[in-house]
Amino acid sequence: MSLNEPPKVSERERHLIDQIDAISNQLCQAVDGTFDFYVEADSDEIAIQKLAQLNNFLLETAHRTLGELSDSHRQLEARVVERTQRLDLVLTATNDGIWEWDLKSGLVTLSVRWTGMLGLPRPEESRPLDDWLSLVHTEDREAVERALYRHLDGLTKAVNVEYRIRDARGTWRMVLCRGLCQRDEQGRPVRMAGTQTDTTEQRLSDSLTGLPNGHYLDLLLNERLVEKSRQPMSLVKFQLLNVASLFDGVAVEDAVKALRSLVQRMRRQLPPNVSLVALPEHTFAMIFETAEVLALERLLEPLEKLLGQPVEIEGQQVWLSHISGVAILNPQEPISADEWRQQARLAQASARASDSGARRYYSEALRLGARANSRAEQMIRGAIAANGVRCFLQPIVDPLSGQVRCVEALMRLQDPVDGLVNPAVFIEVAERTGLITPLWEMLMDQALKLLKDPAAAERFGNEFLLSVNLSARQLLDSSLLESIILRCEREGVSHRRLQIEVTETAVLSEPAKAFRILQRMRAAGVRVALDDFGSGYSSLAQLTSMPLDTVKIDRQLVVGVNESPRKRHVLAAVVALCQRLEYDVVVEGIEDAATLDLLCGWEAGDIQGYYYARPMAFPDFIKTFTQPSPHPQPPRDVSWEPPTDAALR
Amino acid sequence: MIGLIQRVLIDRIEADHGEDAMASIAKQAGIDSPGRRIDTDYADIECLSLFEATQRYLSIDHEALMARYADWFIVWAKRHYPMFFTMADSAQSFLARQPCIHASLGASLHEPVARDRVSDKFHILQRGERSLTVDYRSANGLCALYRAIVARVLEEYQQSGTLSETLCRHRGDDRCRFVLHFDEAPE
Repeated sequence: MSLNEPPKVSERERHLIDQIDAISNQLCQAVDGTFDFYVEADSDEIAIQKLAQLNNFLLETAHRTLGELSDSHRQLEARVVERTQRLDLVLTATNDGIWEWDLKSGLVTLSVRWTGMLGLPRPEESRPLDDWLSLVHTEDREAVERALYRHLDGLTKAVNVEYRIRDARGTWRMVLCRGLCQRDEQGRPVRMAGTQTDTTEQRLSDSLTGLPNGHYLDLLLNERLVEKSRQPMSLVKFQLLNVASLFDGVAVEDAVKALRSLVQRMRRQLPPNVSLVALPEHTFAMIFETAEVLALERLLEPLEKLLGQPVEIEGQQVWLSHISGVAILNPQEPISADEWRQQARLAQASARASDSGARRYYSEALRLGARANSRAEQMIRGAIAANGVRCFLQPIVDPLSGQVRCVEALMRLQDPVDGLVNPAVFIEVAERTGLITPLWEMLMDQALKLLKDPAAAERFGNEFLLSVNLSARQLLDSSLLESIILRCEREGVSHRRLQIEVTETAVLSEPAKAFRILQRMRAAGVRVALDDFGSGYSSLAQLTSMPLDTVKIDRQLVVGVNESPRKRHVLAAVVALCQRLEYDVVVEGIEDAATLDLLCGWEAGDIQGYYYARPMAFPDFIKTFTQPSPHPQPPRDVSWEPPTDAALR
Repeated sequence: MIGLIQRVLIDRIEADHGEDAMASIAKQAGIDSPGRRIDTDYADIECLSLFEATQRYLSIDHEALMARYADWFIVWAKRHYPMFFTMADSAQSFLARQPCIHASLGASLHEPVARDRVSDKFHILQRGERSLTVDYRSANGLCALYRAIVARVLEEYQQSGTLSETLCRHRGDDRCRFVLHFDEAPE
């Protein structure tokens, strides 16, 4: 047999070879990657059958395994689709956009929703991080960068930062950015991804009215102030004063509905390009592009006209009152948003302090007044903290007997900078801020000691009264009487030796209540004096109805009375009227002997003034003031009933 | 039933008793020409009838036939599928793989139902360090054959163990369940 000649085979061997070849040929079908076929073997040889059988087992196993893999793949794909749909649903429902920052390339990929919420075009390719940051408000940019990098450095568990971002229309939106960093096995950051939620509705709008809120106003103010060529502008703050009236006796939902409707109508009264911003306490802000008062008044006229009409609510009509404060921007003067807002607030406060319907414009005087008030408040708080309340005393004398009938306790504050400060500087602020109460209590602690001072008793006896002033706020305190009595008991003095001085203004704020309290005072033995009568808008009607013991005639009616017959006429009439009404009279502001002579001639009553003594510190009063001698009574030259021309001459 | 089962029987009867004996048994079983291919399956009744006829021919009871058949089976399998024995180092290892081997023997069946029936016949329910729990589902009720094979496999590996049949179709259960304990753990 040569090498090239194949070996001779038997018939059985030929059969076996043919069968093996047949099986191999059938297996060629597997090159297509399909295994769903069977190998057939037409042989009685067990080896061939075994070969076919085990090949079939392998084919079946491969086919089944591939089928299982395919099923598994389909299931995974279905789960991915389902989870993607669920995630999409959540993101759609939450209005979230998605961002991904590839840290290797430095590029950020933004989802369609991310750009869509800002009205920006659909993102076509990944962009540098700076493109994103350039849209962020300059004041917030640093915070955003810090949040991203702090998380990148592993200092925070996640990115969570809220910021302002400019949309395609040039307005600002508030967004909340959340994100997480993915890291490799070594902990190195690979990518960062997260969501961006539009929180404008929650952050920049007022929940009650649906209008833009104070944060939005901040944005507006800052934006207007950074404009290169600053236009004339005015910031108007408009406050509805008695909105509570809308809620009287009606369901809250109805009142809210009426208020929202009113606000919407208010919005329509403004030019479309002027935003109406809702601030706390039913205050609204607007920025007008004018610095002309007349133009402003024209612009505000429709709004005020609307508010001149009643609001209809459940068949009833409710009139709302309002005030407004205006801060006109001086284009030449550098000013911050805070300062501009503060100017409008001062003007608004000034309007509120005046009558309803008033509009006030910010001015330098307002600023100085506000500064003075601020200084006064600090002074008061400092005095309270440092026990700086000083009690000064001024006697009220019966000129005919020379007897000290009463001593008025007057308050001074000891300030480290300004020294002794008179009430004129701080009393109004003290009343407005409620600090009058602690001041008064500190004054009383000192003043009540006069009533048990041995030297005072020796000089002035044990009958003289201690007179103290009360503010409107104190007067309307229902527990005032009990507080006074308790305080007197604690000091061991009788409250019957007290006189309280109230002004007409204090009483007029709530006359009915004030009258009830004054009646209780008098019934308990505390005397009541009407202070400063004749100053301001004194009402003669009050004299007939007010529960009173004494009327103190203000020095404005007294000063210069000898030089002015007309003034003398008025003073004489007031004194006569008070006496006719059987009130004790104290004439204030007696500074010279001639005036004293005149009043003694009229038998006008008790005298208070520099003629006898200026207000003195408590120790000085005890040490130096001695009871004056009886004043010689000049001949009476006034007839009281009725005053005649002759007498008045 | 897979063809291998009756092929083993035919080969051994012919070897021990001659082709005429086999023809007689086949005739007794009512089968003209019993199938011999191992890569196909035959009707269950054909195999069962051959078993019954053989039992009568040899004048032995069912248990004794199963014991003999188990020996014939192991000898035949060792000759034609030695790798299955080489792969297993113990009786437990061999029997644990037995359901898979059984399934491979049905791989050439074209009918999915027939193929699944073969594949699902044996199932390892629990595998302990020295125990196996095996479920056997077949209407043929050849649990005696399985018991005999287990005994023969233990003998083959020179090991000892016990088998308890906690469920049995002959007792009305829907399956037979064998709990096997081996005296030596596989290495």
